[in-house]
Amino acid sequence: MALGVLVVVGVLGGGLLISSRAILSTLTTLFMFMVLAQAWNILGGYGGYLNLGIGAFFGVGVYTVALLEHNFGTPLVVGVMAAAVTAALFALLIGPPTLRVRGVYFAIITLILGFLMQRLAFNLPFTEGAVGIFLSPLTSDANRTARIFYFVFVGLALVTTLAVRRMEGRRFGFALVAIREDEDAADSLGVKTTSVKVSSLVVGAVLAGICGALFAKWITFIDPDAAFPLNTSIDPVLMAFFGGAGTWLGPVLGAPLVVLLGEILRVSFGGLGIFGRTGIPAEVARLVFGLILMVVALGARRGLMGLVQPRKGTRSGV
Amino acid sequence: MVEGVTTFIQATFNGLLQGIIYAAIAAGLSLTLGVMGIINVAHAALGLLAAYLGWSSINLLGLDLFTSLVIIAGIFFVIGVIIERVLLRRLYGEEAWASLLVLFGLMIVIEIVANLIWTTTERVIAVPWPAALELGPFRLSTTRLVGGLIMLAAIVAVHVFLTYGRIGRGMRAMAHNRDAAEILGINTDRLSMILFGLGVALAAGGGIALGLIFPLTPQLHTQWLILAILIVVVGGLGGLPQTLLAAVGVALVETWTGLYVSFRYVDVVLYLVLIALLWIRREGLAGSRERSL
Repeated sequence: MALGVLVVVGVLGGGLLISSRAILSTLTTLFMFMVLAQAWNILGGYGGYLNLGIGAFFGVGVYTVALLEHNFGTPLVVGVMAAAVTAALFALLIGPPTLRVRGVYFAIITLILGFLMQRLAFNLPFTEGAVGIFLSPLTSDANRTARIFYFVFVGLALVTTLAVRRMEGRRFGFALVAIREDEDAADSLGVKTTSVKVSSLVVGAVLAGICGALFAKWITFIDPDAAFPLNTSIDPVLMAFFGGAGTWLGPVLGAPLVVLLGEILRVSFGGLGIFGRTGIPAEVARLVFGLILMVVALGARRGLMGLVQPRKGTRSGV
Repeated sequence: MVEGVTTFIQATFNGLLQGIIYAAIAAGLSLTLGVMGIINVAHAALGLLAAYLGWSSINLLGLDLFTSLVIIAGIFFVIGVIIERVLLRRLYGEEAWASLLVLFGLMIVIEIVANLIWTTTERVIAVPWPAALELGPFRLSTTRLVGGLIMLAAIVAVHVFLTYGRIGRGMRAMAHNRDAAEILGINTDRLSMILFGLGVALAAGGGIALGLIFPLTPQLHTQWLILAILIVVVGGLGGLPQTLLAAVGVALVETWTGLYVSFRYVDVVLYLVLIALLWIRREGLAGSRERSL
């Protein structure tokens, strides 16, 4: 608890004291991804349903805000609320049919959904396609804007983490864990499995949609590549697994580790040539992340938290 | 009027050949899903990697298409065997998402490696023949013709192997019930290895054939994966003839949409068909609900 307070004070103080916009921007990204990882964690970590396309909901939020401001000049607060609603509706559209079925179906559908949304953003008549949309900056002072978004994402990450932590000891959290461990048993004990799963998908989608909405206003230029990059789908999964999926602390540990690792890789490989090429830092970081994802899935699948809390009991499959 | 008919016949025939090429990449996915219950999300990425190797071998080393195809398919058979042995074997007892996550990681790694080696510049496999074959009033794409015929031969060969061979019978037994097959003395570990190798080799062959008709970029595999999943969903897991039929159907829908609606809506139409089908067939794809317990 004392440690938690210390971390929160440090994070808030840091936001006031850091003067470098580059560092502030990296930290803002970190907290945004912490929210996304936590959003993913609810259904993916606690419920055991692998969502490989949470970036689709993020992108829906991005485009909701961008299109509202572009066409109607809607203020950000209204835009964010609208983004939360569209993301929720989107989740309600795809959740019930896909989540009623067990197994890997949900993962495949969400994976495809991410690809599909990007193609739609390129091809639909009203999204401006590859031309993109410019948004007006939040304030005229770039430093002030950067600081505002930092605190907004810190606040969102804090609220989300506390909410997930609270959920852990509640009926809803237990229901999700029961679904992960043995869905048939949970079902027979009276857990309304489909409704629990759909609700967690919707909650995760709303959080991702809000992140996307704020992100759009933060970066002020939107095109299909900016709204639906692959990393908004992959990194939350990686962070949650890295820190420990299905624990509230997992994304809190995982997000800084992954962002930090990305930065280290960027700095250390930035000047090096690989296969005779230079200036390819982002790809190298992603390569390492892909490898880590494989190792995590193969071995210590409960992440760092698994080292602290050993898994209770064993299960045998039929 | 006559010109319209000519265009239609020409487009349909080219679409048909393209469908056969699609079938090759979908067949591998269908095999591993049907028998092992694993959706290989790295399947198309492996196919793309093979296509890039094909490009290097044909354009840079100057080998001919057939030699390259045979060598690369052989290499990818071994790669498939290694993936099964090293990555997937230890995850059979675990939840399905563990193997999915491993393959997802592999997909990312392959995409980045392709990006690092071959860059985002479009790569076109050079072929020594003229681009089109004049046949009376029709113009046929030679790359589609060659790629389609080779892939048809490959699919027929794999089908015969799976239907009449001893290994094929074992695999069908395994598809029905892995544990029972094991109890009855079938070496399911060895069969899984061969099967996964075969699936990846088919991905490689299909990838090279697709490389003959599309310029290669590192992210192209996402579109191939969706195509392959679409075909598997349309065709079900009944066997390779169904996969072939479904692939041809998908390619024709694609061709006709491009011809009569608009080229930019081809992807949208295909993806919407896929999502609709996944909804409709969500219980029927793997046979029955109980099987996926």
